[in-house]
Amino acid sequence: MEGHDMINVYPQVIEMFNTDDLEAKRMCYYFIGTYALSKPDLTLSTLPIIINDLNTGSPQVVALALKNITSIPIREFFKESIRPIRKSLKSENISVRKAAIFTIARLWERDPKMVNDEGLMATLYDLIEDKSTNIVAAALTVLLDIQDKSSDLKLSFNKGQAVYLADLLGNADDWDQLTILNSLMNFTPQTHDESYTLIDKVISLLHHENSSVVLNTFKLMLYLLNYASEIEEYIIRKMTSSLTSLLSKPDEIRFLVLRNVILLILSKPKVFHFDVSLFFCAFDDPIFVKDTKLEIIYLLANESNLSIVLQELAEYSIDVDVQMSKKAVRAIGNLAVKLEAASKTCVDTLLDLASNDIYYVNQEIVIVFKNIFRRYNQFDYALSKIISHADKIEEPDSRSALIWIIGHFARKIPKAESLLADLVSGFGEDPLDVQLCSLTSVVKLFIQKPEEGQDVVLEILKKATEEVDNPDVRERGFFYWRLLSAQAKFPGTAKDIVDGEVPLISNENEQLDPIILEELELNIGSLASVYLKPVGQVFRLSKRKLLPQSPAKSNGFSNIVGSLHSTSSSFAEARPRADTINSNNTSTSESGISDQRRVDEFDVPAIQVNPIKKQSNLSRRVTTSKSSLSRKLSIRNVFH
Amino acid sequence: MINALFIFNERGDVLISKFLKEGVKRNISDVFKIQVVLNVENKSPVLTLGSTTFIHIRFNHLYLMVVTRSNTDLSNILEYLFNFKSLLFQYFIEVDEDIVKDYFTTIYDLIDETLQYGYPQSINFNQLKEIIPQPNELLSSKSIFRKPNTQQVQSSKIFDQTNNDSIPWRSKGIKYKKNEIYLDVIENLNILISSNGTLLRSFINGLILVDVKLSGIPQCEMMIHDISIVQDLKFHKCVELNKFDRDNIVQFIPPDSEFQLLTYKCQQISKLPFNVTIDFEELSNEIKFDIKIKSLYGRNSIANDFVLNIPIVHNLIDYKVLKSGGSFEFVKDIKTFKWNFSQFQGLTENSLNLTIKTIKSTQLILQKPSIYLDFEILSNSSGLSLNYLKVKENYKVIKWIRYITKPQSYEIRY
Repeated sequence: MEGHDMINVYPQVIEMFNTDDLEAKRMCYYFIGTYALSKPDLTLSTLPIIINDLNTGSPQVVALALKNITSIPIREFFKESIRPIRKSLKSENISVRKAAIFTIARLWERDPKMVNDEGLMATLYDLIEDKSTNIVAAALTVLLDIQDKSSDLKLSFNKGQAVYLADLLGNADDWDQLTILNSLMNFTPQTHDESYTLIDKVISLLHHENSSVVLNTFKLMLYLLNYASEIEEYIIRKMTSSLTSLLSKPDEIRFLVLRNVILLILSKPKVFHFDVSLFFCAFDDPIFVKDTKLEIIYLLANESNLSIVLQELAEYSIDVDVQMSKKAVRAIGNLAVKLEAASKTCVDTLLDLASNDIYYVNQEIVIVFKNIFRRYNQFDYALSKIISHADKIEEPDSRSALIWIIGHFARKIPKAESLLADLVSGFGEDPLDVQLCSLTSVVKLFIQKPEEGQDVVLEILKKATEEVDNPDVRERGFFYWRLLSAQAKFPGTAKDIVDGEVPLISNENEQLDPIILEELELNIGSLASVYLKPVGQVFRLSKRKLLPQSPAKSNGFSNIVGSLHSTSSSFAEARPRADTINSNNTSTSESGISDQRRVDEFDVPAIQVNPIKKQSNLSRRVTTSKSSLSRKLSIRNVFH
Repeated sequence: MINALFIFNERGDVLISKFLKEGVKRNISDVFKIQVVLNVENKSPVLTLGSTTFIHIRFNHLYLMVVTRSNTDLSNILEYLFNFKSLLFQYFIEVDEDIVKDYFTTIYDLIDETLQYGYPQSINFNQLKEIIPQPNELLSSKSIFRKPNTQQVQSSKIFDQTNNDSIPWRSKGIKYKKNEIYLDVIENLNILISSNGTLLRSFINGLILVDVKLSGIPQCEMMIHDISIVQDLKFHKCVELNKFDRDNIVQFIPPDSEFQLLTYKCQQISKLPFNVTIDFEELSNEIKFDIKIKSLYGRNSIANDFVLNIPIVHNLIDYKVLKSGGSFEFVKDIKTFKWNFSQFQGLTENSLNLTIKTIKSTQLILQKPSIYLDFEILSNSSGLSLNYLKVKENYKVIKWIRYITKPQSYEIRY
C-alpha cells in the first residue's frame, strides 16, 4: 500500500490509542508522528491521551510520549509539554530522564525563548553535575547541539570543570565518551600545565577500538597541544600510530582516516611523519580508497623514497582499472613538476610506460608532459618520443595538450607544420577546447616559423571565422587575424602576446591557507575533513571555529622534545615515557623504507619436492561452476 | 546530527525510512536512489549535494544510509552505522531484504531506541533485547548455534536500567555449568611482493577473538609476551585502558558473548609462509606460467584450503596444465585460474606449468593482475604469544587458545 493511503485509517488508529499493549502503542505513536500535520484536527484530539500517558504510563510509555509531544509541530502540543518535562527530569528512571533532556533540544528548535524563560537552559547546566554519566552526556549533547545553532550561547569550561568531565571518561560508554571529548573542545587551557593535565587524562583513549573515539581523542589532543610549550615526542608517535592503526577498519572508516591523514600532511608536515608504504593500494581497495591513497602517496613523495614510490605508481599505471591507471600517470607527471631532482627519473618512467603503447595510458602521458615541458627545458629527447605517438592521440584533453606542445615548441620540432596540419585537419568537428587551443597553436607556429606555418594558419583562421558557429572561436579567430595583419605596423607585438613568456608552474595548489587548516584541525573526523574545504563553504549555516586565544597559546609544535626520526617510520608503538629511549633504538628503524626485505631472507630448503606429473589431461574444458570461494571473491569481476 | 535514516535494497527501493529531525523532505530518498544506488560511477560512502549529505554503508545487497544537514562528525555516524549493522545481525542472525521486511517493526523500534534526536546512543544487544524483544521464532533457531554442553542455566533476571552500578555490557546473574573461555589469535597477513622478490608490503593485522561462557562477573587478566613486537593496540571497551598503560596488563570483565578483545598491528613479520617463484612468458597468442611454490613453515604444520589464484585479463580459447599435485580449475566468471590444495604440508614444494591459448590481439596486453593466495594455517606469524590468562573466580575454568594465520591480501607480482 502506498504511504498516502494509510492516512484514511487515522480515526481507527486513535481508537486503538488507549491500548495497554506497548508494541501497539508504539505503532500508534509512530503513526501520529508521521501523519500529524496531514490531519491537524484529528491530531489535536490525541493530546489528552498523550497527556494521560505522560501522567500514568510505564517509563517506556512516558519516554515515548515525551518524544512525540515535542516532535509534533503543533503549538498546543509543546505548550503542554513543559510540565511533564519538568516532572520527568526528576524521574528515577534513566531512560525517562534522557528522553526529557532530548525534548529540550526539540523545544529549543521551535521556541528558544520559551526554553530560556521556563528555566530549562539553567536545568541543563545543572545536569552537567548529575551523578549519572549517562545524564551528564545527554545534557552536554543537547547543550552542544544548541550551541551550534544559537547565536549567543557559548559554552566555556574552566580547568576544574574540564578535569571533572575528563574523569568521567573512564566509566562512560563509547557514545557518552564521544560527547564528553567533544565538549572538552570548549575548554581553553590558560596555562601550559592545564593542557598537559588534560592530555594525560585522555591519551589512553587512543587505544580505543571505536574509531570515532580515537579520532575525537586525536582532535582534542591536537587542539590542546596548541597550548603546550613543548611536546614530548612519544605523544606525537602515539597519535600517529593511533591513526595508522585505523587503516585496518572497514573501507568507509579507512576513507575518512585517509582524508584526515591528508589534512595532517598539509597542516603539520614537520610534526606527523607517515611511512609512504602504508598507503600502497591493495587490489581490492574500493576506488574511493585508492584515490585517496594515491593523493597521499603523491604528497609524501620526496627524494629519499622516490624510487619505491615510482615503482609503485608505475605498477598502478598498467592497472586494469582505467581510472586508476590514468590517475597514477598523472601522479607521476605531477611528481616530475614538484620535485626537480626527481624529474629525470619521472620522465624516464613515463617514457618507458609510453613505449608500451597502451591507448589510455598514452592519452594521459601526453597531458602530463605538457606541464613537464613547460616547467623544464632539458627534456628535448622526450619531445620527439612523445610526438612519435601523435597519430594515436584521440581524447580531447590529450589532443589539446599535444597541439599546445607542438605549437609552443615548433622551433625545436622538425616538420612541426605538417604535424600540426594533420592534427587540426578536423578543426570544424573538434570540441570547443581543442578548437581554441588549435587556433593559438597555429598562430604560435606562424610566429616561430613564418614560412612553414603560413598555409596552415591561413586555413585555420579562415575556418574559424567563416565556418564555425561558436562566437568564442570566431571572436578569437578575428582577433588573431587582426593581430597578424597589424604585424608590419607593430612588429613584435604578436609575439609578445601569443608566444611570450609563460608563467611558471608551481605546486601551490597543494597548499591550503593556514587559517583554513586551523579550522579543519578543529573539525577532524567531520564531513569538512573529507572535503578539505572551509566549513562555511560546504555548510553555509555552520559556525566558524577558531583557536581561542589564551596566555598559554604557543608554538609547541616547533618544540618537540626527543628527536623525531625523520628517516625511520613513526608508527612503531609509542612506549610509556620511561623506556622511550630504548624503543627508539630497537623497533623504529626496522620498518623504514631504507632496509627493504626480500623474500629470499625467509627461504628454507624444502624437505619434499613434488615433481610435475606428466598426465594425460593435457587439455581441459573451461568450467563455469563457481566454488564457494569464488563466490566470495566475485568482487573481482572487474576483469570481465 | 542524523536527520533521517533509510534502508534501501539494491534496486533503490526504500525498505525503511525514519525521520528523526525536521529539515529533510520525504522525497529525499529519490535523490539518493538516483545519485548513488543507480549511479555506477559514484560509490563513495559520502555525498554532499547542497548542504544535504548522504552517508551510507553496504552489506548483503542492502544500503544503510543516513541523511544529515550539517557538518556532522562523520566518524561518529560511521561507527553508528557499523554498530547498527552488527546489532541487526545479533537480532536476526542473517540480514537480507526479506528479513528487513518481515521484521520491519522490530528494526523500526531499534532505530528509535538507538537514536535520540538524531544522536547515537548506546547500542547494546543485551540491554536492548530487554526493551525490544527478539522475535520468538528467531530465538529458538538460535539455539542451534550454541554448543549443547554449555547450556545457559537461564539468566531470567531482567537488566535493571535504573541501576548505575551495573556493567553495561554484562548482565547480572549469568550462570554456566561448565565455565569456559576460548581465545582465537587471528593474524591477517598483508603481503605484497614485487616481481623481483622485494617485500613491498608486509604487515599483520592481528586480533584476539574471545568466546566466553563464564558465570557471574568474572575479572579476567592476561599479559602479552614481548609486547614490543606489536603496535597500534586497540581494545574492546571492557578493557581497563589505564591498567594497560601502567602495567601492560590486559584486564577485563568480558561481555557474555563472543567479542573482539583487541586488535593489533605487526610490522615485523617473523616468518613468511610461502615462497612463490613465477616465470612468465607471453607470445602473440599464448601465455605461459611456470610456477613453483614452497611452504616455509614447519613440517608438522599444515595450510588448509590453500588456493593459488591466477587472474588473467586475456580472452582465452583453451589451456593446458601440468602440475605436481592439487586440483586445478578455471573459473570463467572471474577469469581466474585456481590451483587448490585442501591441505598443503610444511616444507613442501609444488610446481605448475600452465599454457594458455589466447585470442590473438593486435594490441599487446600489459596488465598482469597479481597472483594471490588464500589459505589458513594454525599457527601465528608475528611471534606474539600470551604469557598467561587468569580468571579471578573460584570456579574451575577451561581455557583454550588457538593461533590462526590467514591472508587479508597476499599478492605476488610477476
